[in-house]
Amino acid sequence: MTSIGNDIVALQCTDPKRTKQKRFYSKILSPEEIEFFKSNGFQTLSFENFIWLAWSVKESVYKFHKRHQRNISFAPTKITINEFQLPSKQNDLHLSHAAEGISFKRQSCYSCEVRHDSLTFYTRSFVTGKLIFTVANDTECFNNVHWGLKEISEDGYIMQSQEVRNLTINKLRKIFLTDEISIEKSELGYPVIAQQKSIPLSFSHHGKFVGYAFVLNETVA
Amino acid sequence: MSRQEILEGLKTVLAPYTMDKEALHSMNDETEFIKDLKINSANLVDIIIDAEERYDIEIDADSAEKIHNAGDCIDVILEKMKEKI
Repeated sequence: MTSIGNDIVALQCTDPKRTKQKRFYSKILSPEEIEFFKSNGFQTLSFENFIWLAWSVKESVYKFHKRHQRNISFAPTKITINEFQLPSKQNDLHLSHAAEGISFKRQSCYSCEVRHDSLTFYTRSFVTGKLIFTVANDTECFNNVHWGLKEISEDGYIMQSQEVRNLTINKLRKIFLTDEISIEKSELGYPVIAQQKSIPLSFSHHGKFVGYAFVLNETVA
Repeated sequence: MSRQEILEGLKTVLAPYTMDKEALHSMNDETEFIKDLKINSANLVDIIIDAEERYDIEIDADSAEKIHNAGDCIDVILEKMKEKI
């Protein structure tokens, strides 16, 4: 399946008190996921961040899947995390302004295997003090996945939309060595590169953070 | 409670989560929360909980899954209110 999904959570925009209320997190986590966290008690991951990480993982998988299954609904408790691997070292993502990369170092991100609609998906996530950023794929190989994120000066939909487009277009111009890059919206609402329609692209934004992910097979570049 | 009354109540529930006040004002059954009101998906659970509190109902995962637009949300609220009687 050719697709990509990504999601970003600006932790400053979440309500920590509400997040920890059972009526809130039980609409995101399955009973097994709640039990999994409680029985493991991760020292480097608070329960709040686990909840938002799970949200981000599930939202990314949903976005990946929706590109091909336009009628699916987002039901977080029905998208289940089967395997959950923590980073082996502290996150080395330094987010002073922006970060971009290709693929993910397993040792510095959270890796999940996720089931949805009897399909298996894989995710990679960064968790910092400010944000959670996730990319979902249907294979464990993220070698061709380009990603980027940026802290912007103002929130609001128009600014977020402009900033994520500019960030992505600048990246694509460098890759394709041309200024002739523009981004359109598909009928289903996901972004499309007008000059390279076969490249799956996903945008995300929350508060003052925007992010993108796209898959670029070497043959396309 | 009529559909129109719930639609107006839903506008109050949604107001803190959208900056597009014009789109909220003209909301109808077909309005989609994310696409049309530019609500961030990270607020969807907040909206469900605020609606539960406003109407003293519980919206389970199966019902929440049916909500694609404002009309679906009103259907679920009405259904849950009926179940209470």
